[in-house]
Amino acid sequence: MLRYLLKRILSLIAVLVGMSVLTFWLTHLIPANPARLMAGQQASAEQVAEIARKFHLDRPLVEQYFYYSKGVLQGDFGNSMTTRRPVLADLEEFFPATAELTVASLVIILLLGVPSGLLAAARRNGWFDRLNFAGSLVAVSMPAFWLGLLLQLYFYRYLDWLPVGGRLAIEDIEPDRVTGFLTVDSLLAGDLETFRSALLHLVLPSVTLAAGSVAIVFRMTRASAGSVLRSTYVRAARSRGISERAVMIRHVAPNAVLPAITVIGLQIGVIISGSVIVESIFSWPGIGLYMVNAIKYLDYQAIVGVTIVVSAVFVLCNLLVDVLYIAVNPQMRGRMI
Amino acid sequence: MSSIAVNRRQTLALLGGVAGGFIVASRPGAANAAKQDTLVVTSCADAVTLDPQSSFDGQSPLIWRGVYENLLAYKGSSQEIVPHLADYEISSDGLLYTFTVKEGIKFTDGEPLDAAAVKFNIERQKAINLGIAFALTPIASMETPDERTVVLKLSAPSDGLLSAFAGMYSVYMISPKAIRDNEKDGDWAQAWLRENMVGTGPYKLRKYVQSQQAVLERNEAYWRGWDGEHIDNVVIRYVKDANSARLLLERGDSDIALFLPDDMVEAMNDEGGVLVTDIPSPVQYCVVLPANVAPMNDVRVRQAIAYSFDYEGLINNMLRGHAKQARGPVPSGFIGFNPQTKQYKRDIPKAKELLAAAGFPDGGFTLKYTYETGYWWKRPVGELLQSSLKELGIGLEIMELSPAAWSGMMSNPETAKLACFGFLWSPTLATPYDYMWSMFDTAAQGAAGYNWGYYSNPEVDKLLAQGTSEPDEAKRMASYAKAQELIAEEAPALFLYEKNYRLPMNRNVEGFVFNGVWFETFDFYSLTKKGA
Amino acid sequence: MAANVNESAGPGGARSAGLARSLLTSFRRNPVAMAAIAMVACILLLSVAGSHLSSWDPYATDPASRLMAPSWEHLFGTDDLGRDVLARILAGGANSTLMAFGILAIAIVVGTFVGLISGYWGGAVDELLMRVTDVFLAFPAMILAMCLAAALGPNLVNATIATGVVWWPWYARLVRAETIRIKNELYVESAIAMGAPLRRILVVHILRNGYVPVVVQASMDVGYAVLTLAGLSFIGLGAQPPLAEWGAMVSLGRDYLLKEWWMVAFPGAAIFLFVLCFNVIGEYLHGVLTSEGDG
Repeated sequence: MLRYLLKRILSLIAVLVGMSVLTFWLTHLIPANPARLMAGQQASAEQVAEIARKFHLDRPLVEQYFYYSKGVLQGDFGNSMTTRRPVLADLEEFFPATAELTVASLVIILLLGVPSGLLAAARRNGWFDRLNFAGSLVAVSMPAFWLGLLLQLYFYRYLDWLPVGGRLAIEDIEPDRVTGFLTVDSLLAGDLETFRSALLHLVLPSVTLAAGSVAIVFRMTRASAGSVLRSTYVRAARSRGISERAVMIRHVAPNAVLPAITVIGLQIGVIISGSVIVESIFSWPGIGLYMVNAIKYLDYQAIVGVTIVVSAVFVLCNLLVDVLYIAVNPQMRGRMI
Repeated sequence: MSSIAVNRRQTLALLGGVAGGFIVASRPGAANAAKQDTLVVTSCADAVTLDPQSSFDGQSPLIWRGVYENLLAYKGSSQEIVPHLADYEISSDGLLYTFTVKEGIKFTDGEPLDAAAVKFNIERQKAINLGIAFALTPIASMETPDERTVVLKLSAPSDGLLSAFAGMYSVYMISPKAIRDNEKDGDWAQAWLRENMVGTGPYKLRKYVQSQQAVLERNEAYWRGWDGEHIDNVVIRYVKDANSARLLLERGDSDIALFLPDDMVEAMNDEGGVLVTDIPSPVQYCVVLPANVAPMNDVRVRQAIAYSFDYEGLINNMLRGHAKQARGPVPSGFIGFNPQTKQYKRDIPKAKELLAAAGFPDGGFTLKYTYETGYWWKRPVGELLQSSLKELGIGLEIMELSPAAWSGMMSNPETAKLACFGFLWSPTLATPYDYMWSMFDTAAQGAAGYNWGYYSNPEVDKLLAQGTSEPDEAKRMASYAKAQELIAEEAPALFLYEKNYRLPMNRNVEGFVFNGVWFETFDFYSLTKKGA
Repeated sequence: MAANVNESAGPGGARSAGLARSLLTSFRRNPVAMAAIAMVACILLLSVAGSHLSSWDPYATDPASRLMAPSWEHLFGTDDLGRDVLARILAGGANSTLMAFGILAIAIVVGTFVGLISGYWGGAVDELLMRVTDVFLAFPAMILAMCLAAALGPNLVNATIATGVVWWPWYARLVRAETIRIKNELYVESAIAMGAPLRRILVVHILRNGYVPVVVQASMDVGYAVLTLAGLSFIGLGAQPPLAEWGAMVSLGRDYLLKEWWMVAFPGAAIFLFVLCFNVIGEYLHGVLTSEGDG
């Protein structure tokens, strides 16, 4: 296990370096003039040149990358041109919002996807199964941006049940920052009113973000539970007169959870990708929205910073899922080493 | 089997319970409506910085105006400059400016506003060389003969200098103590002031979260006092999604919505729940044409394009008549406007005739139209231009670019070849010079200004130079008038329209006075909210 | 998951014929899949014939008739520049279809090439190529696609290239696994031993016997490709004005959602239906092809 971990972490570092090179190179492909933008609209040509010198923008790309990665290793991701702050400060500020949204989506995915998959498998081709199966096809085919807009229209405009976007309402007082998760922080501050508001603001974005993944987790759970149900040892258990409920709980559920973990691991990438669109629709002040703005305004340092950090988190999540997979499934331990 | 059925029912019951909880818990109703002592403004675009001397963006001044003040001010909705924090006097040769600071004005950190503070702020503005700094170049020296008086000596007269102490981009007064205390590596506290504010204004900053919100609260010690009705708190919320901003305003959760697309504002006007202002404004919308490369360096080709554009369709249908066609580079309500300037109307036969005379009877060339992300009005204008040019056989390739890529491309004459671009000019200084120099003076080509059509006419350059340094009002305006005629005749740009200021606001907000020099900002101190 | 698809392997030709036949019979037995195929056919036909079906030019602006609600004249209404929404949806269909296949073509060609080399030669080449693949897979798909699209300059073709580049590593892994499996089959080993030319081994033996999982994967990916591309256009990194593209149309209509709902509803529904049909087809293709091995 330890050797496996070590090997994974080593290859992870190689991957991160490759990734940063790729991102850095990509973002510098366009012939833009960031120095001019930094210098301000009325700056003279000399001032622009001065800024280019100061930030090494006049050096070859390889050299710029060297300066950049030196900074990153010291915790300096450069400054964002649009927010005019250190990129790291921006990331610290916007990351918790995305993390909270992601966790909320994962909770929805787990709570809806796994049980419905198990139930559907238990009664294959029953009405529940057919309905969910059709529903899952609809869910994976729905463009997230369209679904989000429709939900806003229905739940805010017509029903007036849920807020239209943002993390808190205008009159809410933001709790002191502890975790950056507004739901958690408001509870820590003992402010139930804000907690309720934060939770309500989470509903539409997290549902939009989760929709496609719920369908996929549903299907995976259904498929793997189905194959366990058809396996010889379940048949044997049934023939010994063990109740259907006991079969589901003792044999099917644990076996179906493993593939579900894998799929959730894969879905983290999907959720991070989806957050880009969901955050722009729901004005959710997270990394996704920050990324869209950075790209639109060609904010080099911000793009490189976000991409590296988000991808690093993504890679770490994958590692975590793999480790979890091995931990949950003792049979795998021997094989992975 | 039956046990699974029970489980399922429990699951459904649980889900139902959760959903029901949401329904009950989330009926906000009237409780959400903004309170009467609090003004809520939504902005679809982020503020760039809280430092009022360091940026030229259009979104940050909204906050600045609540906390910081200028020595001078524009009177009501006019371009007349009047004393505010200080009285002023200009010598007859236009070379000596004397400011006398009013007594008893303090910054919110207790520091008094005196002559030294004013001088220090001007020094800072010049040193950081951002924002309005370019307009301060004529200042040769500064003196503070006594505690209340600051004397500026100019190297040459400048008709824009006074504006640099009055408008949206100007030398705002920041507490010198705050600047000195928070200075780091000789940055004049730029890093600190990006997120902190210490001014003399009616409000002070209580809370600021980048891209989310700014909260201002009453400055109890404000020098003009709090008699009469005023707003106590101002909340500025950055809501990126225009639909959300619109809904917040329509439901009374906010009072004013900034930076909404035209069509959305018109839709709100139609539905009648919200008040939409309809005030003439000096913001000039145009499409700058590339004027330096063949075939566009032929004045007849540019005129042909000017005759082909469907101004009426744009103004009557797209803007629903809340605009009027511009007449040359200076807006009609602005000082120095010349009503004799030529105006182009759509006339396709004439356009074809001009094009044929220039040697392109069937068009046959392609132009580019570039615009930068974030300016939504530029896309439809480009698409309309594309349709118009099609009738002349001229192609138009539309490109949206990030602001950095856009300015990079356009400020380089090589990459800007044959590229038109949508442009808008709102006045920085109260002089027609401001409108014409940046876009059409030869010296403003490339990185120096915004003459990215690379238009050059020595006659125009000469008239503008005469105008800005001429102390005599009548002679000055005559130069500017001539320059306007020349520019309109040579069509280095399509002067599209002057759009009325259409701001959607809550019906119970009172006291709003629009001044075109101040754009998308408010004098919060003069606003009140009446009970619903 | 897809790697354990198709456990059977045999001489290519006979197998293909059997595959086609079983596909046909299976589809005939499946009304939903039939309907989906019919629908996709319809959409494709409409898209291709679009310019002839609608009397409106999808690119002709007419400010006087802007923002008109659906009527007999304009079935799906008009947009902010007075263009017919239906005509633009039809024109957009052709774009979306073409670009979706473009994405898959890039992904499959690059992926197959890398996968074949990596799987066949193994060793250091394999190690290097797989690490490169890992780097690409380390990005969340949309993030990398956004970076690429922005770097290449936002337009529909570049967004297609960007998405294709994001997609290829999956195919590379798939083809590599297949290649390794088939390479060790007796008949391939004997072909190598008899000195058959390399090209023949790669193309005739490995590709012909290993393409099924790729087809299955591709059929399931069409929908995602369309969604990703529409997503890129929605955030402004894909189709540029005035090009008719569904994602860009929804994005444009977003500001009009509350009143001129048709600008969002119809293009959004077009994406949804299109993707749904491809997913239904992919689903059944997957079902048929993967159950074939079980007998």
